[in-house]
Amino acid sequence: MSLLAKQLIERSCFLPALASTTRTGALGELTPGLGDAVIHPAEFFAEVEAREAMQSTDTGRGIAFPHARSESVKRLALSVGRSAKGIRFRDSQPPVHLIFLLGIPPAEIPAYLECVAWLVRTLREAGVYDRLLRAESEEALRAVFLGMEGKT
Amino acid sequence: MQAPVSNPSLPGKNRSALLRFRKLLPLLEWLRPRDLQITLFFAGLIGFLGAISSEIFRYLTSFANFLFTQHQSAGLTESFAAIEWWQRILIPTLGGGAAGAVLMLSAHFIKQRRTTDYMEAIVIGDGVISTRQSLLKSLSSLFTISSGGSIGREGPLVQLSAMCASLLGRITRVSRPKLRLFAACGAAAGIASAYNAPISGALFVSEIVLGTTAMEIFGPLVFSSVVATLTMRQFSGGEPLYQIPHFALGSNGELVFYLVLGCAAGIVAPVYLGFLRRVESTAAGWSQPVYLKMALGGLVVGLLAVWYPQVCGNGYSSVDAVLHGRWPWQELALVLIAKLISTSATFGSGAVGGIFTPTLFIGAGCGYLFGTVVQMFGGFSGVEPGAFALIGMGAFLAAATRAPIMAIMMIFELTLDYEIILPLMLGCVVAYFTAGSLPGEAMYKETLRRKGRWQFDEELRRVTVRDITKPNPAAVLPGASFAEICSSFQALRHSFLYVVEESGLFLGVISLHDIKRFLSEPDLADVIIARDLLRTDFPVLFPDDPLSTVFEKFAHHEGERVPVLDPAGHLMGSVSKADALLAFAERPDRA
Repeated sequence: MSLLAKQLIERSCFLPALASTTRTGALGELTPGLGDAVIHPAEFFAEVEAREAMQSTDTGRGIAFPHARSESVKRLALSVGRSAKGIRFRDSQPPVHLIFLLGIPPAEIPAYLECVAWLVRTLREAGVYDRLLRAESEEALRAVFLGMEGKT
Repeated sequence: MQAPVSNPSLPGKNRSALLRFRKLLPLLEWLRPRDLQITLFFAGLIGFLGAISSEIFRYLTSFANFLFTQHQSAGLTESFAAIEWWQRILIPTLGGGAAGAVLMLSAHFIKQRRTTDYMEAIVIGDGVISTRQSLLKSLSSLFTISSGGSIGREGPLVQLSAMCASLLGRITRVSRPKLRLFAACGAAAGIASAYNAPISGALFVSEIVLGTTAMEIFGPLVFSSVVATLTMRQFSGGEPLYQIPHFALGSNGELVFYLVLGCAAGIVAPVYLGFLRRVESTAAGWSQPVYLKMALGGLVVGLLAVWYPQVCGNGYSSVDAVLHGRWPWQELALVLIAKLISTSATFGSGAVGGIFTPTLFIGAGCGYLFGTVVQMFGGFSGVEPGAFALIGMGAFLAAATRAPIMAIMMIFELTLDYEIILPLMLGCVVAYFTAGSLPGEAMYKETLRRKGRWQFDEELRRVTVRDITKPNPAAVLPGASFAEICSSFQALRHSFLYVVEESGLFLGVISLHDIKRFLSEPDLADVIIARDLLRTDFPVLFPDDPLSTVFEKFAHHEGERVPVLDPAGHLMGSVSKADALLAFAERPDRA
């Protein structure tokens, strides 16, 4: 686990039970979790929606990585949400249960790629996805990721 | 613009493509020829063609000389020495008249305004050298040289070689800057094959014609020169042009005399060039037809040849005689004067040819006479006048061409004697600075200036981004997947990949630097698209921007290319640093 990814997880917000049942609603719930990293949440939200409209970040395995590189973001930030019922990002794909919303400042492309690559790689590991779905609290969710330290 | 890459939506396909790309990347990177490698390939081909055209011209000259004199001798001087006195007068006169008639017919029947001069085509033209006019000029030169005209054959050799290169460039439809580079490679090949001197061939064009040694230009010139020389050696062997006795520096004190010789060459060379130009401008003022003028030039050579057949031809065998000390200094002084008059007569009459080799003879002769004086009065018993002839040849060349590095390398390559290098360097540099402090311009610079300096400035103003733009740059759509982006980088081998809307609207670039650490991350293929990696703070050019703007952009930009947009922001093409440098090399103040 890289230092950058560790810091990102430590700073990130975890919502174990998203109330929304739609993509837009879920993104609306997750955006405040980015905290003061986002200067203009409304603009950022619109840019995330535009990015999803261009090409969905739904991986087809119950996980999505909505994100936007935006002037409204002053530092790299992550907000994680979980939905037991699942949320449809694309009609052709199964529902998404884990959503990782990333806010990226325009200049930080390598840092952004490093974090995304780490997240995707970690979530591909056997058992991680199931443990995240079973975790009972925000702390437990965070612990799943931090528990991966030294393994990736 | 090429069609932007579309975005397939199958994640698994993306990932497998990325994995394949990772495995093949090193091999594909290694195998794919770059622009410079393609240029070098053509430079080699140009070198080969240049050498072949030079060999054909040499053969035709010898054959025509045999027809004129009915003597199969080693050189022009020898064949003229073997014929009757009246033939020595008649043959150069008839040859001059025939050469003039060819030039007249060429001007009469070919009305096109394309340049025939390789130097003009490279420096101020578009790299296009008229094939028909070049062939006719070479035919005229063939008559002059084979009938004993006192002029060098390196002129037509370089002309023909550059013509072949220009023709090859037009057939392969290269860009304008590249066509000029091809013509320059042809000129370098011509010099290299004329003197069996590959380093001098490249330096002649880079130092005298282009005024730059930027590697993007010098590299292909060297490649072309080397191939030309190797090809020539298949025909005539690898021996240096002049077989000289071994010269050794007796003591360091002798260097003082070489220094004085450099000064003297620096003073005499501008006088020599001025004399040639006065004769030429006087003859140009005469209203007689060119065939009569050239016949008169031939007559002057013929009359001198009755007593001094050494004046015939380019002076190669005369230089050889001087270096070996075959003539007493008194006879050499007379031959030198006769050669100066005959070269002026031939050159001034408008004959097509070079004055490079005749200049070598004048330098060698002056150096030998200077060495004789040193031998008589200098107090150094071991001094060889032949050594002074050699250094005089280089110093005179450096002063006349104002290209000392080329002069040093030329003499070194002509003799392949390392012992002479120290006095040679000293003499050439001193001659160069001495000539530079005197009025008058260099041998070739004057030629270009007379062709109209104003044309240079006009040409520079006309060079815009539009002239050096390469159309159809590869680009991707903002929705292109990470795998497609990686494949595009691999195919293009550029540091930046352009991103455009389907309408062609330019959005920005993706930097290879940003993503290269993640090329081995196949999982990103599902998540990342071009839009996520877009950089918009990227320099752009517009078609009407001048060359100076191009360099301003490159001064603050690490990439090799800058995109060119139309006024509405659509991607039209790109400008490469190499093409901008090529255009820059042809600036008038560097000619």
